[in-house]
Amino acid sequence: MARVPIIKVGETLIATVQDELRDSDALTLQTELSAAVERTGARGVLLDLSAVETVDSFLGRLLGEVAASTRLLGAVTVITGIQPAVAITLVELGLELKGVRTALNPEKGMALLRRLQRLQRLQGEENARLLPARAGSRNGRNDGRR
Amino acid sequence: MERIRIRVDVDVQRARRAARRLATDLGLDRNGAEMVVLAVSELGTNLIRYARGGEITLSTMQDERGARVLVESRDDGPGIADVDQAMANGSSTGGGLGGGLGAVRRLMDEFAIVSDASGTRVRACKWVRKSERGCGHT
Ligand SMILES: Nc1ncnc2c1ncn2[C@@H]1O[C@H](COP(=O)(O)OP(=O)(O)O)[C@@H](O)[C@H]1O
Ligand SMILES: [Mg+2]
Repeated sequence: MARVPIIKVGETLIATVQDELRDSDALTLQTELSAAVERTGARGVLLDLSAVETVDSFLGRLLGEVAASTRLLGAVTVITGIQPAVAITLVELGLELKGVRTALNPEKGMALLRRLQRLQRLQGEENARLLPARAGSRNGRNDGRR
Repeated sequence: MERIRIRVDVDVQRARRAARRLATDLGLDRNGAEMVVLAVSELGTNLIRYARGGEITLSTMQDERGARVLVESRDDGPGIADVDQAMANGSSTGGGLGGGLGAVRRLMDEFAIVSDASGTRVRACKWVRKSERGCGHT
């Protein structure tokens, strides 16, 4: 069991790290978050790191992996509460959490998630509108309707 | 002086706490202290991952030149075949600007590594005021 509880609020999973993470705890959290996204079909993950004082290359890389794997499962990850000292050391590590969305605190993180999820839905609708047309043209039919 | 045996990840966590305490007590600001903590974390993780454990020694020095924190990591693991290469691109796990060791060098004011088939030893220090050079004798 991870020491980090994961709760679901609407379409979002929220995980608040309460304490410094050992590497083994971080790995457990990574596994459990992916499993939870898959199980619940959540569209967003909010990971609050306010209590984390050190993000080393191991944890930094793992956070990037969490964001990438949840994205593959259809959920956006936003990380909140990264302390200034942590942000500075991340730059020194060359691990600026590229590809990871961040927000100052959980409240701003939820707002960002809502915006990102709305965007995702719009994109989904756009794809749904365009895809049948492409499929159709491949079959020689080009009317853009199902 | 504090000697911490590193075998499992909890040991690294202990070493990080000790480093934070030492650096803060010596007068490093929050950011400076976190740089020392991160260096300890990288070195400790390497001890577990590549050398089946080792030891981290933390100490402070104060003299007429000023105050600094010293971090030393030693193990009797297999050593690093090509230190320059390991420092240059972080090798195995990839990513970042030269991985953990490169970060330790950038985070600390002074950095030295000696490695051969009998083990690896890293010495680094951070000055409370950065105008000084060298770690001084321990
Ligand atoms: N204590 C050690 N003993 C043996 N090899 C080491 C040790 N520390 C580091 N190395 C070697 O140096 C390489 C670079 O280490 P590092 O910069 O920490 O990056 P990473 O741990 O992500 O590979 C490692 O991949 C490993 O091969
Ligand atoms: Mg390393």
